Amino acid sequence: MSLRFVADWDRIELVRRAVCDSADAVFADECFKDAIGMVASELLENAVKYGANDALVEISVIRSLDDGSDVVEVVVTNEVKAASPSVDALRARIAWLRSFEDPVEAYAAALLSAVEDGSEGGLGLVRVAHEGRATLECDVSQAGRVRVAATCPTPPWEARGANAS
Amino acid sequence: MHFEDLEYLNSGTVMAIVQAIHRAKKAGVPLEISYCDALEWQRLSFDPMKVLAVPGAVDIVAVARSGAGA
Repeated sequence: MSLRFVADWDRIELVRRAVCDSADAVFADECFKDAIGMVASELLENAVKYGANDALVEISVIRSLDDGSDVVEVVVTNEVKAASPSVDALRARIAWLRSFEDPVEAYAAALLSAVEDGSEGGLGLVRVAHEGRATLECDVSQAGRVRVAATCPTPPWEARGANAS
Repeated sequence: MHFEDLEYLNSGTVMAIVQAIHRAKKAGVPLEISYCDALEWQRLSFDPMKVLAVPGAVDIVAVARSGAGA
């Protein structure tokens, strides 16, 4: 699926549900449905939060079966404000995420950091990596459009977090 | 605080929960946060929050089934 719309908070939940329904139709997996909806929603929230006002946001959710892999790629593209520091912050957050062997460690570290300094920055991306099992990439075009791609493995997965007490 | 029946929460809400935990700790107010262990997204979201817990004061509790009420 591919959608393009004016950046708007009110539309994010509608798109999340559409992504959930699409994933449910294809995979019939409750956990994956929730995960892919969360990935779409968090990336869209970042696009609305840090993108240019009233600019178009694009989201595509595509299953790829190339090279023997089976993944779903969620890509959100948006225009950023001129000289916005958010692109550097985005790159830094993704690099920081990659420094952890397991994304759950990054999530725990982000929670502790949120308590210490009250910063929320990047928590959504950490959830995308942890709960969505996603690999994140970003690039910026010369025209000032940021593209964030989350590549998510499809189910069945090995159970995670099942040792909760 | 019961989250068992919740369908979805965004990172802003996670932040609000973290701040509630922090304020409860500072104020010495007992707080229990419960989530549904049967829902994987809730387990993945809430279980790591146990790094913020203080047993007996601020507890993050997995419950087996939803329906405990909000």
